[in-house]
Amino acid sequence: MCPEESPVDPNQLPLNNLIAAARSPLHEIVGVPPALLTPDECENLRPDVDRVVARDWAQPLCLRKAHDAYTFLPDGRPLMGGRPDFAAIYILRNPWDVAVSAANHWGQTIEQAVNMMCEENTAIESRKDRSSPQIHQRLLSWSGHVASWLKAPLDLCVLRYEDMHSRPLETFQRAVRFLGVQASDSDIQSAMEASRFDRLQGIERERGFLEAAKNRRFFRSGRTGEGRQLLSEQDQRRLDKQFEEIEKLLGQKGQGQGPAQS
Amino acid sequence: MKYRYCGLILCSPQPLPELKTVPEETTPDIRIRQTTLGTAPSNARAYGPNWAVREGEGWWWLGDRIIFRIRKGEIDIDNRNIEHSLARSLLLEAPMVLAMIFDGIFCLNAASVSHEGKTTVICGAAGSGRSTAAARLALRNGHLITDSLARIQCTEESAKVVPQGSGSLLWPDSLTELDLDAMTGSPIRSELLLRRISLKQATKTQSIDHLYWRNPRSTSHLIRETPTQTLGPRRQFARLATMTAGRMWIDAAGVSTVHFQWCLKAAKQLRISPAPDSLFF
Repeated sequence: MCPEESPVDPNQLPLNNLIAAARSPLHEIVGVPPALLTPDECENLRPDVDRVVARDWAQPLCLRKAHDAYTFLPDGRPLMGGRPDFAAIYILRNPWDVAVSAANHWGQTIEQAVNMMCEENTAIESRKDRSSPQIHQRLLSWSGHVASWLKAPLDLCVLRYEDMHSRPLETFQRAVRFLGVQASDSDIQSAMEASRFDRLQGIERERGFLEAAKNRRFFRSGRTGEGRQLLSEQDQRRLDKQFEEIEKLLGQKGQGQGPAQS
Repeated sequence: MKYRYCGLILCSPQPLPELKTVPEETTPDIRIRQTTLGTAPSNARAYGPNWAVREGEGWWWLGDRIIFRIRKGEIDIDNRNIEHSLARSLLLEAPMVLAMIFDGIFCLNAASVSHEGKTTVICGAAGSGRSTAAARLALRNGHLITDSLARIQCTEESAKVVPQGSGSLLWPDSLTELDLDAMTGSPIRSELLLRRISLKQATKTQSIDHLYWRNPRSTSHLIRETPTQTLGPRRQFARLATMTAGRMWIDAAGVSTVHFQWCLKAAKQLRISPAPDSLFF
């Protein structure tokens, strides 16, 4: 079936189980509303909850999305799992563009988003006065987040967001190969066509998107290079430092250059 | 003391101030005992990270701070180092659900309310705002029926919801949204700002007029679902099955056939529709 006949509707994805920090699977698997538990108690339960989700997943490959940095629990267990059962595709985007995108998603100014990205202990969904569909997640700083995953004890495939734009087929071929999924180039191209950014924007305009924050669009611009145009010089310099750290680390890890500066 | 919860009579040595008392001579359905428990026995199968089941017996724990042993008609609690209010709140969720499942009784994860002569049950993912929606209608001259566990009784002719009887659990932002003081009610535990508040409660089982489903993030500015999109019978059955409280325990407790029949009866009597936005804003 060609993409025009089978448009992807992101609202039909099983988001409750797809997002690693979603509240619902924790409630179902643990048996009490996470609202009764502290963030630390929820975190302690997450590795086991993830194992149950993976065990009960209908397909052989359990794919989930996480915003968390790769951190360890007080007893030494990794929050997000390790070899041989877990592997990760890390989507790395340049910090200046992340700042613009995060400011929109978090409902903040760009400067506030940069502050969060430079703060070592940044966490989201950490407010104590309200419930949210996701539980507390530690993000750390932008460079802390990237470094945590680059040093994680699991197989990692780093995909650069900018490469998805400039060399889409090659980039997604890498992802598909990493996952061990059998897909031809034409399958990959069909999938890319069906999930084209403007198409997703159209669906959100028409029907909304479940992951969008209140009164804000999720599929905002999808362009690269906006950060360098919109960030103040001072904010750019603060993120430049973090970017340099990651470039260095990627060089040491043999992962080539950091995210493109476009 | 004896108390009423989801239509069952609980006999507890510790006070359960959230619940309404019933006369002492009433026969209890579930006896709650404070005792010392070890860990779950080795022949109990650990299906989840914090619970295990063997024939006729379930275990539920939170770290080494509290352990429950659940059998048909009885719940033992080993409450080592946990606040009483939290121990009570935990008891009224997982262990009670498991006790009901052992008895072939099923609940939906749902808030429900009776308002202007109509009974509305609101299901949906955690954090979707169903408790706040039910509390809002209860505060507008309605009566709260359930906050988190809606026990549904089905016959060939009707489906009814049984009052839960434990008030409503709300966060300060919800209380403020409902024009209540953020400190209304009593805290569940010292580390959290979650509060349990008393609302005018229904005391009798009510026939269900509307069963709504709320998406987890329908606060998104563009999601507009209309109550006309009622689910077809198969999807209705599937959704009732997934909304059943403690659904992961049903197989383990060996009552999946009873659950299947319950879903079938409920699907015949109930029509699930997306919740209208007017309930939430």
